Amino acid sequence: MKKNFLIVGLIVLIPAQGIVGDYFSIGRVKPDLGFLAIYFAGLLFGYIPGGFAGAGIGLVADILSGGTALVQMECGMLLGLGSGMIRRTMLNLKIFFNSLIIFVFSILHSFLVFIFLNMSLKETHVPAPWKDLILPKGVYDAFLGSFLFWLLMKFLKNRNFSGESLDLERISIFTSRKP
Amino acid sequence: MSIFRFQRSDGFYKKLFLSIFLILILLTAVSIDLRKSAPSYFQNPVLTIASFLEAGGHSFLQGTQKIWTDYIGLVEVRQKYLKLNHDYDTLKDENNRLKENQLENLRLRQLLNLSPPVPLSLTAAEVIMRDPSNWYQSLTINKGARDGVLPGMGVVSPFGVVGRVLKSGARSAVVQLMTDRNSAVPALISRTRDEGMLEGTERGLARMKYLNVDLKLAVGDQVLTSGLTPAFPKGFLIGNIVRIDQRTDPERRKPADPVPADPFLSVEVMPSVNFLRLEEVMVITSLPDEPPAQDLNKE
Repeated sequence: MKKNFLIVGLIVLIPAQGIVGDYFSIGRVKPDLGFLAIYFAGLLFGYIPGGFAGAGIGLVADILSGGTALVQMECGMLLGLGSGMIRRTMLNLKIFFNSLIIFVFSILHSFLVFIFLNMSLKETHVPAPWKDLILPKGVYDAFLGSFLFWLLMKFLKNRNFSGESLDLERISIFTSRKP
Repeated sequence: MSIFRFQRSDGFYKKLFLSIFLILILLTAVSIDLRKSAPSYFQNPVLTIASFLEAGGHSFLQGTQKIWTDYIGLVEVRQKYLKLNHDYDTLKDENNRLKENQLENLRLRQLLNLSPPVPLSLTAAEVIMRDPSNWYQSLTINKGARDGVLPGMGVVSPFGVVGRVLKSGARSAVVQLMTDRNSAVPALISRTRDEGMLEGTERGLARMKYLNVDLKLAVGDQVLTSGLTPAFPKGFLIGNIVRIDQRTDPERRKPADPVPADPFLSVEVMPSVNFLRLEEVMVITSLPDEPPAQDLNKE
């Protein structure tokens, strides 16, 4: 039952972002809820479910957005696999390092999207939009992601969530830092 | 005795199978991209399901906004009313003059044996969603193939050109804005009648390329559709020039600057439509007999 809710939530996420995304945009950069959802899916459930979540969310994003290539599906899948692979390391870090890793992942994901987009367009001499999009989006994702991560962990802790081999006691923000 | 010993966990084969399956999906997706064929078997059901969600979400947001605009935010209504009244009088005068010009135009056309302009068939649609990603510039409208909205058709608003229909489901369609980096619209400068190609940029503006480098252009010149694509008839307003590329403009280039490798002039165009505040659009459904000019799209 929980799983079904999760799947429906992930499918509804992209249309919801399209409806309200502009209200939360800073400059021209919108919050990338799809990226964060895939990232958390990989982190909480492992690399295989993360990969599937990435492919699913990316496919919906590709269909609902103004592109004809399956770029977001490909990059989403790689992101889900990647975040699933670092989950053990990630869960033991403090929130500051979490945000730093989300920032790095966001940059890598954006750059990958850019490369795949240009590959499908077969265009050359297109400079990567570092200043206009990739870096500001990375910062936005890092701030929003660490806040959502913190909220998610609080929520899961309260609900006694038992995700696939997820040991909440190992997450530093729940453990006492006293020697 | 082997140095490395692999211990296979319980779900080893399951994970291996799923990993191979994911890699196969990835390779298929990449090959579809390279062949440039749209996956319409996924596209239509997803667009149809999403159109219900989008329409519901849009109605909810509109309702919430309406409570504010209709009941709370009525402070400046009187001032607005007076201003609109003044605008109405001015526009009425202008409308009378335009009607006279139109009649004169028709008479002159008859004298010159020119065929009258083809009347446009427009379908009004409401914007229900913006592009969910940061990589494309598009919006979703609440009219689809059932209403005669098909890929390749032009989309306009009272303020000017909006873009072109990229995908259409049964009840909704995705419109690629002219500021999208994959969009290309043939355009002309209103004052000098010079033609070029208008493409989108990363910054949400449009860039008109392939103009003659000797042109005497000025910031503020109007850019219109040239009518070379069936999607847009000639004369629709696109926007105004806001910047002339200094590297290629002969008047602005410093003597010390090297001769540009690009033999064409390009200008940056600010669209006349504010895409962030766009709520209603009109789709030009009366396409000529020839197929929609999708080949102008780079994708």
